[in-house]
Amino acid sequence: MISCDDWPVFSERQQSAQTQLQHPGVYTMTDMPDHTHEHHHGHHHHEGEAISAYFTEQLLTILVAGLFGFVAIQMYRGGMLNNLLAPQFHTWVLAGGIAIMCLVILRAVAIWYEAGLLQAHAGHVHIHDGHLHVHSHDHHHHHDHDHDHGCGDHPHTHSNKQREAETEQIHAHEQAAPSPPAAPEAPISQHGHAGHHNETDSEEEDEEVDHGHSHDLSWVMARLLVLIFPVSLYFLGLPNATYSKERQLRMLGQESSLGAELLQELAKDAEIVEEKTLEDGSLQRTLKTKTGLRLLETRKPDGSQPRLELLGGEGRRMRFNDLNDAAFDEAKRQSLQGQTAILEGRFRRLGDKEFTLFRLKMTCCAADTVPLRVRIVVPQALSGFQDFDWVEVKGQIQFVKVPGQERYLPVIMVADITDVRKTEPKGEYEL
Amino acid sequence: MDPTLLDFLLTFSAILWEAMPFIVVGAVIAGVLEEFLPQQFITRILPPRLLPSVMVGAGLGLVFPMCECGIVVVMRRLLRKGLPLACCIAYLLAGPIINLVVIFSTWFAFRDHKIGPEMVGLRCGLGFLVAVVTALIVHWQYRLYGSDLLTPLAHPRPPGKNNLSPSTSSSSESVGRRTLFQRLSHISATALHDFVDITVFLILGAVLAAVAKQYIAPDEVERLSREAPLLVIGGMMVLAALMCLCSEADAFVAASFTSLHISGKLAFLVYGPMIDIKLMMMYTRIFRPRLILIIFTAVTIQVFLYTALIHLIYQLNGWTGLPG
Repeated sequence: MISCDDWPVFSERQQSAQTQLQHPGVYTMTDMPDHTHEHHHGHHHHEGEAISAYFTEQLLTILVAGLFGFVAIQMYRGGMLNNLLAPQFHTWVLAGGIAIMCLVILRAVAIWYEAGLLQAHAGHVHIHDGHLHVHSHDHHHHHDHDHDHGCGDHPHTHSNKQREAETEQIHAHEQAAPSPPAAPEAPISQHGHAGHHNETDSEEEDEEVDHGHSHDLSWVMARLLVLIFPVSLYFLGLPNATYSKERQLRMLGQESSLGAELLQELAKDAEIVEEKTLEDGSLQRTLKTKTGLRLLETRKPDGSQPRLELLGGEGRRMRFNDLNDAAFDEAKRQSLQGQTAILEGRFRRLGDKEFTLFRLKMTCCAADTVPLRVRIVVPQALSGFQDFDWVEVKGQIQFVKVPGQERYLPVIMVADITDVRKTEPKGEYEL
Repeated sequence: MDPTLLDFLLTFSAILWEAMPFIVVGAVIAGVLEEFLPQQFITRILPPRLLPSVMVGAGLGLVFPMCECGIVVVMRRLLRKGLPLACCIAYLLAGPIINLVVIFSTWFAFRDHKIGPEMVGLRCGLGFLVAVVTALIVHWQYRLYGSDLLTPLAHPRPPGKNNLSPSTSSSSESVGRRTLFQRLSHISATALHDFVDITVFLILGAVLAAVAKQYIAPDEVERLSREAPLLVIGGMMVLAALMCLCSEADAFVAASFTSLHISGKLAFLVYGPMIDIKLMMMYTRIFRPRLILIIFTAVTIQVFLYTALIHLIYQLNGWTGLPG
């Protein structure tokens, strides 16, 4: 069926000299008003060419659609979709592939049947641009496959009466002219369609007609090339990774450091939970801030600056998604802050004691990828980590207001530098 | 291999394979419609007056949810079956926004930002308004230019010359006589044709979108938004057109622009499902360039005006329009 609107060849060339009349029964005959129907009996040279071109084109359609379906199924099976689509769409692609395969098989059987018909009726077959017509003189036979024509790639049989009419009349209907895929805005012209004939277009069209078969085949070939492109990508095994590091960094954009004084700032309004004096005379207090942060404060008896330490904990695994969502919700922020979280992601250094841990998120497909990030603040200067290293972090959750903006950033306050360690690479996407 | 090229291929493949299943669904529906839907049947069930019928078209997505890729394939066949162009435009533009799947995903994306219901309401409201007004403009143009606005394959068949009319006895006989194999053969032929036809243009659109995506940094649009709100509405519309996101997913991307004013997000969410590179390429299979230009202009101007108005309303009332 691919051919109906894109195969102006056969008729266009022959059409120019003919009067264009509208066949009254044509719509019902062919179900397709948008084709030029010409019945040229005796132009066997053209007919042969037309028929072979018709079958070539049909077979190419089947081939390319079949390849598409095959690739869809294979991409599902081979796991290539993991970088491309969110999991809920994988089944869709598989189903789409299977559906195309079914259509292709059905179409192949129909074409095979048409080819059989062609042999049985050699000499009575011709093509009306994309329609395979079998002219039978045999009335009984006529009923066997009458009106087997949708968009015209189906065998036709015509009664003798109809044939008489057809030999006199040309059914000129409009028809899509080939427009190269690179310039789809080029006018798609109409041909002698009774009712809305477009004069300017016809003039342009006449020039195109001169190219004849070659032009049209090149249009079909151009389309096939376009379709082959994604198929060949699959066979090259591409794309086989997520976005490049450069791209990921660009997605992350500029991030400004929260600063080293963050811990002191957060500890300002802390209340004392527990107090005890150590053997060396220093005072040790367990503090809890309003934001739920649990701290250990040690004051030496010599009156020097008190030392603040974060308290560690068991911690549980958390998701970037949950932390990022919670940042927008006062109640969720309240319930999460102060809890100890374990998080795995990629490393991006922002300062000595501060880095971003991020993972990618896609909702439907890779094109909507956004980075999910959590800020990590560590007590001592951190070394030995490179950007994009996979890192596991344990620490207390805080939500810190971004300076100058009305939004909160999830932050993990790490108690000890050993709570940051390299880990095995995980999937790029947190789903 | 060059990482830029790999990024390009990834974006391209993602857009293509995401849309592919829905094109198949659209193509199969197109095949079934072509085979079974009686000519002019739609005209009989639609309200006869223009405005109600356009409004029904704009709300049709609630009953027949389809994403923007699949809709294009189905529309061409429906136009041939006599669906009025104005109705078709209304469904084409509003369908991808006003349907339950998208309404839910929009609400979900903004749920934690505390602006879920607000976003859903405004998105659907604006989508409906833009679709209806554009449809009316197209209707007025259609009366001036007729079917010249459409590609031949989308031309409605002249009334009275349909396969149900008793004027030709041979055809009405044949309808009843079609075997299952013949029907399946027709459906597969139409579906494969439409699939291949639209996919070619989907591929070209995806290539353009993937190239464009190489050069845009959403971050910069967001930064701009704090400085020039009106400029950012335009910026978000350009972004939506270039990113070619599925209408189910775009709400999540819009939500990721956390510090962006609600008007910018709305512009992104209303404009994207109606106009993007991939869709424009696919539209060329139904509409002539003139009609595409009309739709493009009407939608662009309206989305800009309405979202700017909303921005103004928020400002006058002192609402921040930002997530709490």
